[in-house]
Amino acid sequence: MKKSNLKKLNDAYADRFGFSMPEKSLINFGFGLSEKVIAAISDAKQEPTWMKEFRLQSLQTFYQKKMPNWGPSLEEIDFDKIRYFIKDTDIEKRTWNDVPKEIKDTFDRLGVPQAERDFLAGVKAQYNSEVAYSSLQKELDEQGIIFCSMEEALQKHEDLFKEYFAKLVPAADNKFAALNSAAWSGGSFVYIPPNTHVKRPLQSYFRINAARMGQFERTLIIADEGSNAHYVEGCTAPVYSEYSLHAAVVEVFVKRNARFRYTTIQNWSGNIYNLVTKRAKVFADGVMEWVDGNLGAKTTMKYPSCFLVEEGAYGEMLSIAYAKNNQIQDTGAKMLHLAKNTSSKIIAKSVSIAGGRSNYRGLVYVSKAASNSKSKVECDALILDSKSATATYPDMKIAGDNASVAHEASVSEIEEEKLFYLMSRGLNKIEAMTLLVAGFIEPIVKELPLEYAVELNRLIELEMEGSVG
Amino acid sequence: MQTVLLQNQKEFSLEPKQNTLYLVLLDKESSIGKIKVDLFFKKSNLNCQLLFIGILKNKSNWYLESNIKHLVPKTSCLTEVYLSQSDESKVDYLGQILIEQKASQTKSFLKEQSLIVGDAVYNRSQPVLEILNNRVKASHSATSSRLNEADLFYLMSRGFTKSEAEKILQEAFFNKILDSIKNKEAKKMIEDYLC
Repeated sequence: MKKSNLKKLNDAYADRFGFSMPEKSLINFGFGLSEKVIAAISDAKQEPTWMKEFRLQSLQTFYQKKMPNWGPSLEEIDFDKIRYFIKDTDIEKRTWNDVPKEIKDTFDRLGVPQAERDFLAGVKAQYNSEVAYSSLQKELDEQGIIFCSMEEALQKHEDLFKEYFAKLVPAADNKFAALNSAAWSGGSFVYIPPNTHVKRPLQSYFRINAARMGQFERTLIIADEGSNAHYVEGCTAPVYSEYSLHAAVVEVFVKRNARFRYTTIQNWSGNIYNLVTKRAKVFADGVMEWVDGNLGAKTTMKYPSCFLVEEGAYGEMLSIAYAKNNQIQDTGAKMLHLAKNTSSKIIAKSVSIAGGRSNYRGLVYVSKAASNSKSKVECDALILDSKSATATYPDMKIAGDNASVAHEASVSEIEEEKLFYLMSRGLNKIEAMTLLVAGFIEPIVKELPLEYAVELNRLIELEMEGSVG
Repeated sequence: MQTVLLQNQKEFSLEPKQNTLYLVLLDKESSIGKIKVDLFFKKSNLNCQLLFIGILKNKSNWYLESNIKHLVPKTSCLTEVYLSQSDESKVDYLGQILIEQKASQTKSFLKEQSLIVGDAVYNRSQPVLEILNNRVKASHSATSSRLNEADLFYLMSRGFTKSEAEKILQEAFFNKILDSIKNKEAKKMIEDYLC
């Protein structure tokens, strides 16, 4: 199809339905990773030389780095069987019939619109609600906020991009950060100018957007001094992907007096290894809040961290992990207190059911310089049947004078008394258990934007139906 | 509850006996030390307690480890670690509770409290829980904190010097444990140690 004709078609779709067809790429590199593939990714994106060099250097780091020798097994990952550059045309070849029945059923029950289902199932590559996007973009432009794809930011705001890119998660951080640094594609770039308050959560208006979602997406956020914003990533409906590995990197800079909240709901289909590196650097009196929900994927390894580098910085992590059907949710948080009078809080809740395993793995580090620092960690785990398991692996290293660090964790099943009470009031066992699980995760769900909270509760209800009794 | 004092060895691997308190008192004079205690619950209907008490000072450096493994149903264990740290002392504690899949109706708890009295101390704590059965109750808690400033201020305003006030508060910290121990023999051992 000629480009001009496609544009007309896109415009027509945008006007009538609010979404557009993708522009098709003609590039194909097959499977496996090589310098040629990495260079081609960079060339295709018309990147400056420094980025191409960065990618190639990261590839060498990736080769040198070893796989993690702790945590869940990652032996199954075969880096030669992964496609590192995916052209849109291939995504189009998949049909609705290829999508697993469980995922289709969940879409049905959640009431996800068909166009959105197509995108989430990978049948359609792009689902941009152009109308909503344009109006929000206008509002953001007026405030001087930059919110675009990473590719666009590299082209249009190169100096700003270069100043912060890979400064918090260098390629040498770990093997998967190196892989992402070499092969990154997609992801969001956000810059909030000083003293700017973003009223609406970013991304909630166009929660799914091809350019911001991918296998190796990279997100870079800079909340300048005194700013305040909330970014929401992912969605509660299951996202189907054939690709076995998702390795993202997120870097967030929270400047003096700024406040930033990063909410993620991850619900990848059950064949994915989800290995993500997320890190925030928090300056004086800044506040960083991670809200993290992990529902999907075969194995998730994700430990968002806060580097509290100046006096008065605060980091918070609220997380829910829901492990079912032999899933491993190995999640947690890291709080590094590197300056005095810093504080942090971690609240992690997990539910294991039908052979799932949830692990909390976390670190609280109070350096010698971080006198008068405070940290509190709470981990609660619920195991709903005899096939499931849970574990907590916290690590607290305290060297700072006058530091106060507390950690508590508990593991329990659903209390018979509560179950009995609810059942004596007419609920069946599944309904009663669902209600108790909803109550268990409520402190975190209430922090989510309303539409996510509603959908998450509904989703857990659906998951419980097939797993209990 | 009978008391067994674990001493003169670095590593202990034990099958606990019913209603027993296993007590570890860290050598106050030692500059470096390592104690590892493994308790394997292989028989049902057992209940025991493991207690570490230590006053660490003079740049002493300690590694402590407790591994509580519940392999059969209906066992319970309480692990407690109370440490007071001063004078650049260092401690690294790994406390693991493992509840195997067969070990239903297990109760296992771990509590670690470190009181930081002096400056430049280092405290590392790794309380690990691995639970493979749903019909259990397990928890751990670990805290590391300094003497309460308000308490210190109150005592000093009553004429105590700073070191006297610190000593009183340190005693109060350990008295909580003494109050909970009913066995006279164990109580005496701990009192002697704290003197």
